[in-house]
Amino acid sequence: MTVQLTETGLAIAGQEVPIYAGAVHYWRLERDLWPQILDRVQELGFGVIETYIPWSVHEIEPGVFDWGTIDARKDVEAFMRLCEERGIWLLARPGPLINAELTGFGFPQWVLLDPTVQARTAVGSLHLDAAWGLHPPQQFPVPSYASKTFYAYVEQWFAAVCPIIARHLAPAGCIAAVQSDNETCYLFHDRAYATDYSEASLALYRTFLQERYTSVEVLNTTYQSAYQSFAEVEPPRDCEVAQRADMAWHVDWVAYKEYQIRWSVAHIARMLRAHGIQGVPIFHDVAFQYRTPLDIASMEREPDIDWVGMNLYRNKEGYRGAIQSVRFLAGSTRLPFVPEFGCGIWSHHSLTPTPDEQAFITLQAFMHGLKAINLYMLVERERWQGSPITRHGTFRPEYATFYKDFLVFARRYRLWSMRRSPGALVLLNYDLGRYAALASSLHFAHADLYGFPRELFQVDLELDLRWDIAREADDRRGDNWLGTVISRLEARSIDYDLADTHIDPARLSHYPLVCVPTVDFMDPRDQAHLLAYVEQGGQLLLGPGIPYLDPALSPCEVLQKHVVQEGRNEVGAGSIWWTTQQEVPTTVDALARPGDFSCDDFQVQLVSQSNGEATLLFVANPTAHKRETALRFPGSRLLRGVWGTTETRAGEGEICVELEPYSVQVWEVIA
Amino acid sequence: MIDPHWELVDLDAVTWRQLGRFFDPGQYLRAAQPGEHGLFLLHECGKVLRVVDSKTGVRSDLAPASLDDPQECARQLYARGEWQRVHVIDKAHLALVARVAQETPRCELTLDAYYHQVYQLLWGTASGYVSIPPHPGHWHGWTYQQVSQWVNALPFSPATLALGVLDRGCWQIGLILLCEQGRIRKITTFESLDLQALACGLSEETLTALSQQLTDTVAPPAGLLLCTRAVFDAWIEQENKTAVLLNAHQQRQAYWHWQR
Repeated sequence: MTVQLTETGLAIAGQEVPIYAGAVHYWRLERDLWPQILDRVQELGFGVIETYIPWSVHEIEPGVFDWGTIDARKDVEAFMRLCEERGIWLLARPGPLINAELTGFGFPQWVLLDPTVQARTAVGSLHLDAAWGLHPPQQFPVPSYASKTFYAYVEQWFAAVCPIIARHLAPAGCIAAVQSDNETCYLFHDRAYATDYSEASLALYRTFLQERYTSVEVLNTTYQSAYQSFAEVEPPRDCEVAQRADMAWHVDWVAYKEYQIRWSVAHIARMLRAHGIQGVPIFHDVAFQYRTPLDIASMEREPDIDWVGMNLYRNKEGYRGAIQSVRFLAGSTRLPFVPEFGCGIWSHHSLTPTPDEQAFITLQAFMHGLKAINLYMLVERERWQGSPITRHGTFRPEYATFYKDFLVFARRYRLWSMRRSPGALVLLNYDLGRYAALASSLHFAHADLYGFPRELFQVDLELDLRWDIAREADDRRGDNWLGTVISRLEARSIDYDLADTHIDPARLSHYPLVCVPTVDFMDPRDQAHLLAYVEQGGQLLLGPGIPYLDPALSPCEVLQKHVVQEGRNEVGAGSIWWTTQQEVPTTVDALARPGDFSCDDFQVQLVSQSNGEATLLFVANPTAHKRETALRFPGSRLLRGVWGTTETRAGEGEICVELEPYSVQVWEVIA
Repeated sequence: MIDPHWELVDLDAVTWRQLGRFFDPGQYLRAAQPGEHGLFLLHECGKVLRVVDSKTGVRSDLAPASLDDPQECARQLYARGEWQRVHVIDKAHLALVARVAQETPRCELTLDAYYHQVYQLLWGTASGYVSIPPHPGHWHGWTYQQVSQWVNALPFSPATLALGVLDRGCWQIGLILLCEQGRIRKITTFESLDLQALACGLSEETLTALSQQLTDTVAPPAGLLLCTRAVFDAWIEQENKTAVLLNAHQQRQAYWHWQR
């Protein structure tokens, strides 16, 4: 490939290009202002921008395209030439789905209204996008990503747009990477039984079952059923688990929902390649989900998808979710990248971020391992506010100053090349996520608008299991086994990454300690990967249970054969530590390697990064109160403030710092 | 009301942060109120599925095997005095609401009309969703019919509607709507105007200057309201809107202009 994906960004004809990008929607900006707007972009320090190329904007009636002859703002090729004249790299996102707050999410209306394209819900209706209350300004029928007619329409769109993109591919042209679709996930209706029950989707479901079981006899053995062919198999339309034998049927439907997404994104990527998009990476952006139906690790293993990022829009109160997403990207993906990082916000959002919030969340993300970013939107446009550059080509100084300063800082320290040294990897148990997905109900349109408590959507299953599955499956509560591990790591200032049990097994060896919540069941392949990690010298902390079943609840002993007792079990060159929740703190203390720096205040976060040229210590106060604490370290240290403070401090064993609410300081460790 | 191709431009971030609380469509549908202690009983055609207390979680002790009369069940539970509201919800009713609302693409409906249809479907039966106390049928005194009729009855077209909310000497909200033939076609903020016109703060002079500038640059105003933050909050939340404004005007905390 001419453009290579690297650990720090892109390499274009041998040139290192960090992805510090911002979104600019050419068709929403006055054509005459494009040069002035790109001037502002470059004045802020950006050398990479990103744009959608929206289908419905360009294909104005079936087979008729406007590339600027009717509306000058639609001359995307002129925009690309302008980027090339200025040496700006471009990330192109031609959809077919784009959202971008467009009416119809970028799909032409005649495509959406074709009945053979439309997805169906479990209750037999169309699936309207407004049903979850997210998407003004008009409801529309969501397409089925299994529909052949849908892909026939997409084919026509790609036949028109891809030659334009292909003429401008790097290194001769400006386009350095292309995205396959956008946030592919049933248009946010991601719950298991919400959709898609269209005929096309059910056909794909049966293909999935056939690939999984190879013969209907094998499926019948697993399901305890008597189907004559795969064509007879109907999916569950709600949680109908009455006994253990029902589990496989439900797990398979949940897994199919994941499969449809991966299949669609890979299929669209292949269509792009077939239309001449060669030599540049193809990536995908996940909206926000890191559990089923999104399976990021598996998606990155698809040969047609080069890398996967996850979008992130957070206010300061949501910092915990933000850093968990970044930790997940750092632990799971080839290049921790946020293809849409909140920079301003869409006009129907409930809390437009303040400049301070945007700065705080951005710094937090880089602190915890973000390597590549696309600020969405760098330039404001209709249905969007709070960006550093207005649609008129002027700065909003209250927002712009931070980004300008930050890019100077990032270049000075080559922030993209900095590495953390996480002391542990925490794995989310993918099977627990699937269990939570299948053991739920009320996936009807609008049900999330009625103000019901979360517990009303859950279904208690009577499966005679040993551990409390629902409790351990909830990755938002802090009082279960997973929450206890994370709390202890953070209390001891131990940096960690997140991933899930579908992780590429080769990544496990990067970590001295791997922690994973386990219950009665677990996929035998995932167990085998963990076992191999231990045999090669890894330390595996698991609990509260030890799996003795597979996710369909059939007997399965992989780890259990090696775990004879609670506590330490030596296996090969490493150990499995089967630990109750109460014993987690003690075991983490014994196994996890603390960093060079710690502090007394467990609310204050510390992360150290280094690239051989410099070492930076990030210190964050993610609370609403001013904090004073002592940074502790062995020996003597000299720290120079390089962000958020300009002081230089020296100390023996400790240095005191004061932190404003919701702030990040960066100290360069001089000695 | 909302034009499917409406234009929202030059939105100042301060105004939009203040307005964000109005963008959750669920608040205009639901009976449950923020922070309210509620009991939710979910059944399917009388078979009880789950009972959840919004503070303490699942309440298996309160789950009768079946219920014949959802209204009576809700009344009895409410009479215990433990909750501010009791919800008895038929799952089959929620499924029906979803199915009917999504039966066709509904292209003829604006988004607000679509949600209003959902509201009518949700609360249109006596036993599908029982709430005690019942849903009041309005949101802080506002109803969909009232607002949509008012927008449809503006005296001329195009017309602007504008709202300015002053707090501690700064315009916290500066909102401008452009309406044509009962549709909101464009939304912008005071940022798109010459801010000199607003320099006088809360006064008749500002009202006049704003009116003139809207006439000159966007469209003649059919309604303008300038007020303090406290008055705005009271106007939104209290049911007697007129009394709020009249009282505020006497205290020079609100100025308005309605073109009839």
